[in-house]
Amino acid sequence: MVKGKGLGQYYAIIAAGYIPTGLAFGAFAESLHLGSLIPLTLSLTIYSGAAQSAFLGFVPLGLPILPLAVTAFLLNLRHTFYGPHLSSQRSERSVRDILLIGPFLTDEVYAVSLMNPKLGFRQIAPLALFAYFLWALSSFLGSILSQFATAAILTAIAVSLPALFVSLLVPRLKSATTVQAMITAVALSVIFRFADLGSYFIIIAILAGVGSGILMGSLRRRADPSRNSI
Amino acid sequence: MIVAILAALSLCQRVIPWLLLSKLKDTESFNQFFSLFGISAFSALAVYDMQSITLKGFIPMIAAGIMAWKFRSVGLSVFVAILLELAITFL
Repeated sequence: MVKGKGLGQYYAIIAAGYIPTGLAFGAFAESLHLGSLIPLTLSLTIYSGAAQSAFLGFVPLGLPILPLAVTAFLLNLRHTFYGPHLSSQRSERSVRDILLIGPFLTDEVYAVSLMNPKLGFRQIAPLALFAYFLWALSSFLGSILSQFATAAILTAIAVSLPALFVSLLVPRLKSATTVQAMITAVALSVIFRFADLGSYFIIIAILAGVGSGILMGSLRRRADPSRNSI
Repeated sequence: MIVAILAALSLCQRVIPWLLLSKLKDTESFNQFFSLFGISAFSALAVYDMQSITLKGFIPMIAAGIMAWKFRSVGLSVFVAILLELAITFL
């Protein structure tokens, strides 16, 4: 059980990560002239920075629902194993805990919980709720504050979306296999954009990245059978 | 409707597997496998959502990448990228 000051640092980590990103997300929504309620609604319902940003990214591209749903599904696929992973670290677990924490389990909450296995589910729950409301409030404030900004500033703020994806991407590049997946996805995306093949092809770039990573992982395992990671 | 679909997807992906799966013994290999999905998706989305594919456009991205690598803070990285983009726009 973590107490007092020790617990406060986790709230600070969450706040440091959520406030600027939430403000930028709200401002980006405003730059697309979506108003303040859309980013607030997205934050309260979808509650996934990556999926919400993908939604906003797809708005100007005008893509149909299916590729967006598939992309959001793939983006959030990692969430599937966050809960079971946290459970495997802790002896306590109840359906009530899962229903209370599960809907609010994000990358940041998962990372903070993983950092300290002594954090019990009763401590993770308020931390997760804090992150949820802070994210919603930040995105709402971002859209409000940006209404007072000029068009040039809003255009500049639009960089927040690709920057968010880069920031989520870089810490995950931990091996040649992951770099291979990134290079493949980036290279194909650039080619598709220059070839003006249409945004639907983004799914192909994503799946090709996954495929190349899996292929390289299996080749590396074949070269070194003791290697477990992909 | 699309918001409702995405919200339901987001909720289901977080809660249902946790409810159904008993304690996993080997989540590490699952995490590594699914991290490839995340990496590929983030890479492709970053390229698709850049305003233009130019050298100047890559400067804030590189800065965001360096900040994310160094400090592991998404908020700080996005903040630096916005500041750089504003500097490029107005200076």
